[in-house]
Amino acid sequence: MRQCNTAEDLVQVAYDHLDTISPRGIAAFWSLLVKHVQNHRGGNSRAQLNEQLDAILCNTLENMKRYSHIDISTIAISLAKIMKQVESRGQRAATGSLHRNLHLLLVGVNSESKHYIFSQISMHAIPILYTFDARCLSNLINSFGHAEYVPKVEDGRSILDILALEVMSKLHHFNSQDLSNMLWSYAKLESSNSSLFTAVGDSIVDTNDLSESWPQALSNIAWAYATAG
Amino acid sequence: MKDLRQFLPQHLSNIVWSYATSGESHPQLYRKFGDHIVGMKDLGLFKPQELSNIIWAFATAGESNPKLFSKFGNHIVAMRDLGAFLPQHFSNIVWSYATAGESHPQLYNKLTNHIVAMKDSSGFKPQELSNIIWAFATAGESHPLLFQKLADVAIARSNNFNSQGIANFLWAHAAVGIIDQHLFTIFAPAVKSVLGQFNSQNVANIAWAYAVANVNDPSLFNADFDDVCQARANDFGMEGYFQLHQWQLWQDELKPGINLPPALHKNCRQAFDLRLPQPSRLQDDVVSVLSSIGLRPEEEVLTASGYRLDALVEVNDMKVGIEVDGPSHFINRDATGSTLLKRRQVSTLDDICIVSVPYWDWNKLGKDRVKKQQYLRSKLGLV
Repeated sequence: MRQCNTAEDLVQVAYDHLDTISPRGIAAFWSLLVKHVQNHRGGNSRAQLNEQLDAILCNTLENMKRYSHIDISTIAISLAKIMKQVESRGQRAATGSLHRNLHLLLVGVNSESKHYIFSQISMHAIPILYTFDARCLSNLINSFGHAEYVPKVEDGRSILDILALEVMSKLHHFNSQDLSNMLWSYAKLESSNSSLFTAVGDSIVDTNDLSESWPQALSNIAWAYATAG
Repeated sequence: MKDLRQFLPQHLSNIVWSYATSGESHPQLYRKFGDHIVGMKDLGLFKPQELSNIIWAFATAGESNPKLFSKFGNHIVAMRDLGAFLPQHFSNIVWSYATAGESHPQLYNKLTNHIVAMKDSSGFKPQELSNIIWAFATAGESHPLLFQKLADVAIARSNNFNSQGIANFLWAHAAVGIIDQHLFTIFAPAVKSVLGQFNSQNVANIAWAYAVANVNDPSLFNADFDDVCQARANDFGMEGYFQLHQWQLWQDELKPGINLPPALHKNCRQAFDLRLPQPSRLQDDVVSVLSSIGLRPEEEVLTASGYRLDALVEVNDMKVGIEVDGPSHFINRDATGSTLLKRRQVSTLDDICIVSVPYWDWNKLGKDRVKKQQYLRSKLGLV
């Protein structure tokens, strides 16, 4: 799939191997499609594209129970980025174009498709949340931020509140980018979680305070000792 | 996380932006990030959006860090070109400095020069125009070329401003004493269309701004305006009462103007009269010299309109009000809107001619009492 030069080629390859494609392969497909959508210059796509994309999406959602935390978080962040790309452009794009097709498929009327897709992702992610590492948790949360949608789970709680509990138990594994993307999403979605923000803030405050001046200061000291003989 | 060096500018920016946007307080985090950034050798890796988001977050969260503001300001001032900055960045940056009360005149100069030189200003949204002008006025920075340029842009899209944007934009022009009557005339229909959406502060600011600009539009200031004031009568606070009293005085100037609802009118007048005198050493000195040249100045005189004059003397059977104007009465030695309004209304309504003694004139005379006497004689036409 990496050799495909266009979105159409990529979709064709994935569609042709849909019966045998692995979860990792599906995740790779959506991830690669992000870049093609970003670089796509418009124009009409071939007639079968919509049908093929629909089949790939159905396959993705139907088999999600077999997917690992890496697959789910990769698919979630990729779909969210594509939705973001086509959300406004797709509505204005010509009928039959890639952006228009993706808009109809992934966003839909009144964002109904988007809500359904992310509800499915949440439903399959929650039972295996304990397997998610820091990067995958951050990507999953970030996907909701990009999609600007927070699915509700069965007991009426926001999935972001459930995810916050999981994050706090693994906070020491988060790097700066994971934290940055995750907090951005909570803020963007106006779904703040005070316990999480306090815990993240405390963990950052506890990091070593090595500013840029330190290496220079240390080398100056070393130079001073060296030249003093 | 081993240490803060792994945080890229984007991470620092996203994180403080998230805390500020969510209203989540964490003073130690802001201090840690602030000190970390202040300790950096240079800010070359920070993109305009990161600079503006970080400074916006500190201002929004009310986290004081003068060194950070100074460092960011100096960094932007030292940049060769601001072409990578978007209008939103300019807006957020100056809004943040004004909101945080952090002074940085060189920064305001740099941004002014850049914006004034921009060939295409169509990218400025109404809220950005309003925030920029509000920030300059709040910081006491008057740059007539910038105000004029952004007024021209605003006039072209006056119908796209929201109520807060209109109130801030017009208030700012009036506050710095840049009176573009065309601007106020063009905006009157837009003001009328959002009048019902104004909060009490917006109403008072708009009323005061039009009073300063002296632009009357009967389709705006009429019984409907009175109704809007009446509906917010209990929310104005002292500052709002002052402003509405000055608006009422303006209506008295217009002859015939309209009147505030009676109870509100009374409250405004009472609040205005209750303002305490604020004598200064400068004022005491001027009064002393006035006495020494044979005039018998009355101090802190309350006029019929409710204004308080620093001193009142009689010269050739005419009453002359002496205003000893300290730095707060000016921006770059130009009178603020508040100062201009007082001079005009005392002259028109109280029939008292005002003579201003600006602080820089007086300070220049040093301790030379003879020169001070000559100065005042000259000002009062007694030479």
